[in-house]
Amino acid sequence: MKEFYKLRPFGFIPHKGAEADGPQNNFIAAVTACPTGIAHTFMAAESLEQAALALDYHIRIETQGAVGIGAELLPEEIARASFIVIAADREVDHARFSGKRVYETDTKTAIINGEALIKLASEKAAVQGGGETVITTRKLLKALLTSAHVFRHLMKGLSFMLPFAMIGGLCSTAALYFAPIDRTLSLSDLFTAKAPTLQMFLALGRDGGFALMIPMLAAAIGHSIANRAALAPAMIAGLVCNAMQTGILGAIGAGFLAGFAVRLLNYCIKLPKSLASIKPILLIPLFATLSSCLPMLYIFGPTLALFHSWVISFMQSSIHGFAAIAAGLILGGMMAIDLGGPVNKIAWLFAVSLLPAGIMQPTAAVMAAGITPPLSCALAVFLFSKRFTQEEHKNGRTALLQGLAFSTEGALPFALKEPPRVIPALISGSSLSAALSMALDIRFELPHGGLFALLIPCVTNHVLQYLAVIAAGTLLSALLLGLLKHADTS
Amino acid sequence: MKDESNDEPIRFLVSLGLRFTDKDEAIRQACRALTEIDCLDGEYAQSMLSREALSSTYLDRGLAIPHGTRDAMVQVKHDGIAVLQVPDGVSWGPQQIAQLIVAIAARSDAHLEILRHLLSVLRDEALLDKLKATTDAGEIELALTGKRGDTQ
Repeated sequence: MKEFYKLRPFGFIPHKGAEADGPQNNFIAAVTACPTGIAHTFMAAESLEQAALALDYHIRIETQGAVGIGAELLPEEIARASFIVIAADREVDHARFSGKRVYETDTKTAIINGEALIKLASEKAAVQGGGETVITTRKLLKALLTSAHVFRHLMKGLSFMLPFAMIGGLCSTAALYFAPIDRTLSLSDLFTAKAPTLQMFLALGRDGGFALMIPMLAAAIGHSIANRAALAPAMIAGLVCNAMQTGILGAIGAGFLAGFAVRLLNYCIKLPKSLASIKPILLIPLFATLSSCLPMLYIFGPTLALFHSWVISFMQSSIHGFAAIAAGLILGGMMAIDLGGPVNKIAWLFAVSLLPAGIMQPTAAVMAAGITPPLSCALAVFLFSKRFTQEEHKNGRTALLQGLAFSTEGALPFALKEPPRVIPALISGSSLSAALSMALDIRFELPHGGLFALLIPCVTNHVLQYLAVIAAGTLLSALLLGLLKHADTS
Repeated sequence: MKDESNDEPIRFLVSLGLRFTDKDEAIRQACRALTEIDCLDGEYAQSMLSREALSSTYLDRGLAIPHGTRDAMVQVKHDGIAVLQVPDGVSWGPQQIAQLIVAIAARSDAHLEILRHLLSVLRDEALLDKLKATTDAGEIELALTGKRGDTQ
């Protein structure tokens, strides 16, 4: 037994019955945490483990320590637990336990007598959010904020939206190649065969892709925040955005509104057990839809629509000359400043939001600026090979491919090593590429795909110029990289 | 994260029959002991005291486990444990008299095994009483590490 304890990390007791879902009577989930995460967290975990073993429970413990292994409880483990024990001397995130029976105490209680704690918890654990728990504004705010990993939700939304934007872009390029699309065609015309089938499919693909992109983005953000319950409200609010022409900003707003509305409602609505089932199927969908659609219709929608149409008309009217170059410089810089982080994604999103309106110059600029950083790192390794380590040579080869595929993250290994030297070099090249691309009025129909997308006919209006623009930015960044790297080693 | 101290056994020092006027003095002595076995690099007592200020590390039955805060982990050179036996006890807080002080300097998970032993010592009242009074340092080491070293 001793040996068994020795080999096994804290909080992991192998147990049977892991396949079944729904609460299991003999399975407990627990969280242990203390201010420093050095001693009490682990002693409490060990004590709970021994107690569970003695009382014939299976237990899975999340140790929030500074050291050691302490994997987060999985949602399915939380779902399976008959109750949750929290032994902590500091605040622990409760939001994920909503609806579960939770018993909370300090680590000392757990360390001194784990068995007594588990026995007590099995009787006294109260459903989270129910019974005597009082909702204070502070608690409410906290519940909202702890779930506000805004960037993570946004990224999930983007990843779900991208295929729709790709289909939209692909179909409009293909349509350019084959035949112009009649904008008045609709879905019903496909069945009555008023138009050639191929043309119909292309029209559907383009309009469908771009039209579904907005509700999908909203739905995915909502889902990321509050799971399945937020899907319908968010998607419907996204449809409202579509109708009001609010663009992508509206969809993001709709997703967050719906997601947080569901979380809030989940937290606020208390029902007796006999009526509990109407909460997820009636009350939450109804009120979440209302509380995300109404503000969208009357408050945010009109404002965002105004803003969106202003941006479109601005981009259409002043896409040439100085304004275009300035826009290129800014977008390019944004693409390179955090190499795939939030700022980079905002720039890309801005460009994509203009695609459905037929404004394709920003997409070209953003794509060029996103391709440049990894390519220039690869080129710098090639040109100044002596100044790079063996590992960087390997990274350079990866970066080359990542660059061609428009994944700016390829430059990260280089940037992280000495950000103050590398980032400015990369920004210069990206800005140059983007500005040149804007100045030359290069258009790009696809929101992603990188240089591989050039294999698709008609994807851009100036293939050679586009390649030259990217080459120019890459060369500038690579030379600057070489210069700055040199200054560092000498 | 690769950690060299993971590969080497945790350092261990037992001091018997000590007397302290207060908790401050005991913690400073514990840090001196940890420095003696080359576990610390610089001032660590302050970090232990601020950890105590968050909440007392007294457990039960005369056992206390002072340790530093998370940000002071950089001052830990090697994982180590210093046990101070205080037969007459020292006040660790209201109604808390510590007789066995297990001071922990940790920067990896090498000390977790000792925490397991510590827990079983806490469960075994007879053993704990014996350790509080023993004059054999090896006995304490055996109880906390599972093996008897040659610390005397």
